[in-house]
Amino acid sequence: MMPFLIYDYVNDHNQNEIKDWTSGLEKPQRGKLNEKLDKLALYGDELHPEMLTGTGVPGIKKLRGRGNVQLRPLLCNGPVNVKQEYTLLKGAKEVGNKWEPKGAPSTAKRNKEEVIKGPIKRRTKHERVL
Amino acid sequence: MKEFFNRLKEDFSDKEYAHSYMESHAVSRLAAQIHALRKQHGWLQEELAAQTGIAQERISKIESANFDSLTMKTLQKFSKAFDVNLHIAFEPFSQGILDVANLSREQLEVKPRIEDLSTSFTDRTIFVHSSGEWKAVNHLRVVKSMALHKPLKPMDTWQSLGVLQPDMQQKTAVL
Repeated sequence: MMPFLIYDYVNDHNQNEIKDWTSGLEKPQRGKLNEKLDKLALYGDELHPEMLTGTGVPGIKKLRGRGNVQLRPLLCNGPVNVKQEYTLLKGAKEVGNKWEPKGAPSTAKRNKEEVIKGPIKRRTKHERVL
Repeated sequence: MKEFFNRLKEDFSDKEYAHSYMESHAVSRLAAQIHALRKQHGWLQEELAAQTGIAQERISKIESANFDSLTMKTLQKFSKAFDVNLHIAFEPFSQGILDVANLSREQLEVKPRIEDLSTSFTDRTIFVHSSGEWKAVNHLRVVKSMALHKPLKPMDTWQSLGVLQPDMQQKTAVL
């Protein structure tokens, strides 16, 4: 079992939005994303503190990846067990310092609030997409 | 953890995916190691910049894994500043998977040259073969336990695994 648990946000139509977003990425992007998520599950953000950085929206962090497209999945610590889990809240990209989709960190914050209200229904264990 | 190894083994049957994954690992590992070595020396990024002649802004980007490429010359500047050996090699994917799974602060830190050479190749250095055989450098001794400083690599070679420190509590090696 991995030391840290990763969860995906589930919307009110019971859809795993993170899985849907990841499925739309190209294979090399998924490879790089899965490497980052594996590191997060294995080591948290201790080994590489720069891997997770703030977004300007309190409590919402971005996972930094490198590639032609700057993938920036948005996540938070916890929110149930802040020391042992991360929840992916919104799939996003940064293009020229602008968010795609627009306002993604604010959306992630709203999603986080929904997860806090109903953690059993509004998140699920991370579903890896190859 | 076995599940993790098996999953990557299966995932890596796809060449494009395997290379993307490990390219990302190589970049983030290098970034983490430069960060760890700088901390090991107690340097600020500005001090490392002075030691290497590389601009602080560039070092910040490298430590953030925010770079597309690094030249051999740049890596050699880091190697010299930290006074450690630069080792670049091709290896099988299975070894890469082990590297992903066995990262630790201790693994990223490297003893500087003088400290390393003064403690290496003593008669307490144990070499272990992937077949399970072991030998000491100068003469054979009875070994009941040994410290695993790094995981056993899946290569058909002799590997230096650890230095016995009789006064220290040892972990038993499982080979």
